[in-house]
Amino acid sequence: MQERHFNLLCIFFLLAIPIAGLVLDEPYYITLATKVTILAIAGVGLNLALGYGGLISFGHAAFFGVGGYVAGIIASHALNYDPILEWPFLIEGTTQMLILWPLAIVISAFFALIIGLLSLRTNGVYFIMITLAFAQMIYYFAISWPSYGGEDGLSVYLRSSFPGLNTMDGLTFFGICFVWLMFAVWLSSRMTNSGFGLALQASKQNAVRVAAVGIKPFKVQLIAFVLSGAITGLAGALYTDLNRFVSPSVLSWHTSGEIMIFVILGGVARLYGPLVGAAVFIVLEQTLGGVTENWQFWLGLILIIVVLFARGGVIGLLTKEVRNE
Amino acid sequence: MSDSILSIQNLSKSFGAIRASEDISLDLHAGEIHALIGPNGAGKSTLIAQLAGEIPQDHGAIFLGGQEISNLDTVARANAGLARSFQVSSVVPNFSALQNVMLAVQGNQGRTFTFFKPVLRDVELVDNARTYLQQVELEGRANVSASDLSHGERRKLELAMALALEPKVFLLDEPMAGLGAEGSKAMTALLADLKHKAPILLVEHDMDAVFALADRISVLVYGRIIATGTVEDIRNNPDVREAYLGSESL
Repeated sequence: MQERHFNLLCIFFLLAIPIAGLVLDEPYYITLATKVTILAIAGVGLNLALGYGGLISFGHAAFFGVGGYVAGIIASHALNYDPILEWPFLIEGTTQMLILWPLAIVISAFFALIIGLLSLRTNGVYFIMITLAFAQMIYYFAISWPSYGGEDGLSVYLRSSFPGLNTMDGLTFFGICFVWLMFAVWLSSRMTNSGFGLALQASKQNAVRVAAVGIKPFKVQLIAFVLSGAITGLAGALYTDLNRFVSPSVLSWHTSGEIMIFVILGGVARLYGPLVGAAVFIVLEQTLGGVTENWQFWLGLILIIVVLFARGGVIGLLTKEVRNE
Repeated sequence: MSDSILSIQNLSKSFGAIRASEDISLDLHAGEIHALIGPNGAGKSTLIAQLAGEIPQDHGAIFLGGQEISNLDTVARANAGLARSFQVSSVVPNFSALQNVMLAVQGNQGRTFTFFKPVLRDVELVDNARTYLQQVELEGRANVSASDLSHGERRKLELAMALALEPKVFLLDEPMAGLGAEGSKAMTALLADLKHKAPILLVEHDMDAVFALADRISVLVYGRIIATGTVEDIRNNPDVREAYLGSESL
């Protein structure tokens, strides 16, 4: 099978499951498909840095969580009729997705810029550790900040709204997330095939060479890292709306690890790798998780097999396209 | 001198007690190949690294086309017109030969930060890159992954990437290294052509190639230039024989 056809098949399944949920009157299917979609967006973000840029960030929970908290905090202010700021000027909360999304994107991009500026001075294992350290700092900050629930998390009792749509309807909200996923995939496809993508993938393999032709690898990687963080941040905002709840756990290193697992499981530097990875992850969680509490043991086993024998992940295994990764 | 494109003035570099470069001055004129020879450990690679901006000099200055580039980093020097090849071939292994050259074209034209235009469908960029592959006789291997190219072909690819920078100066670090007799001959022919595009500072161990190509030769021994002159001057220079060539006759 060609990767292109496989990708179409993935989209088909992703659309089929919530529709099946509707037909069979199993709203839980819709929720699961929405969760897969949102996590896939987070993965598409990480894939840009990790897959195409070779930047092994173990701290993407920072962006996922910041996006999630931005959406949660602003919406909770609106729902409680409690302005965010009263002096020197009044800033009120809002539950408009069209305002929440850009804010989540811009603020997580800003975090990615600061973290990237400092982390990209290192590479290899140091880069992994420093990104982890930044994410953990934000995690502990969220835990110890009582205004927004601290360790208990922050409830948002109504999903944010979108003009003309009933976002409380599961299928509608799935549709919104699906459109975002397709947009993120399209964006990452355009970017990785552009001149910028060429320089990014070259920087991953031979940064010295890139510098010698007059391109700054640092600049290329920083831009990729910021875009990556912004996409993952948007996913975080959607995740808050899905759960109508955000807690420090979205900022923990488990989340970073899971986003990384989506990318590796599905296929590093494959456009639809994160979607496949997130889907496999959720299916395993739902099926094996019902059988045994320790389902992550089996996840670990599968991950080891993929890393050892299927470097292209599930997509590499199922499609014939061979690549040197 | 007015027509000197690259001018190195009193360049010095010490690593602890070791003086890798000591008061090195040399210049490169338009249209010439200036070869830099010397025994192993003479400091040739250190000098190349200093010129490329990888190692900062302790003293001295480097001028490219009359502008001082001593304090610029690698990227800025590449943009100023310094194209280098590496002693050990340095290309992007998973890219095709064409993509490698496209990267260089992009670097030269400052077009890296385009985010939406598919680069492989950028006809102008692709054609441009193909022209450079043609000039090093690699056009037939354009779509082969760089990691699958032979050693000699990778050497040529590096040259194509250097060409794509449309540089003021070529800095070539042992382009013949590891090439067989055939490969060396082909490379010699390429370099003889190349010098009309921009002058070449050539570090090379292959004496046949050096004597065939060089307009001038500088001899570097223990970080110092002991002689600079034409091929004939160097062949007949007693110091050079003593220090570098030993008893071996030329």
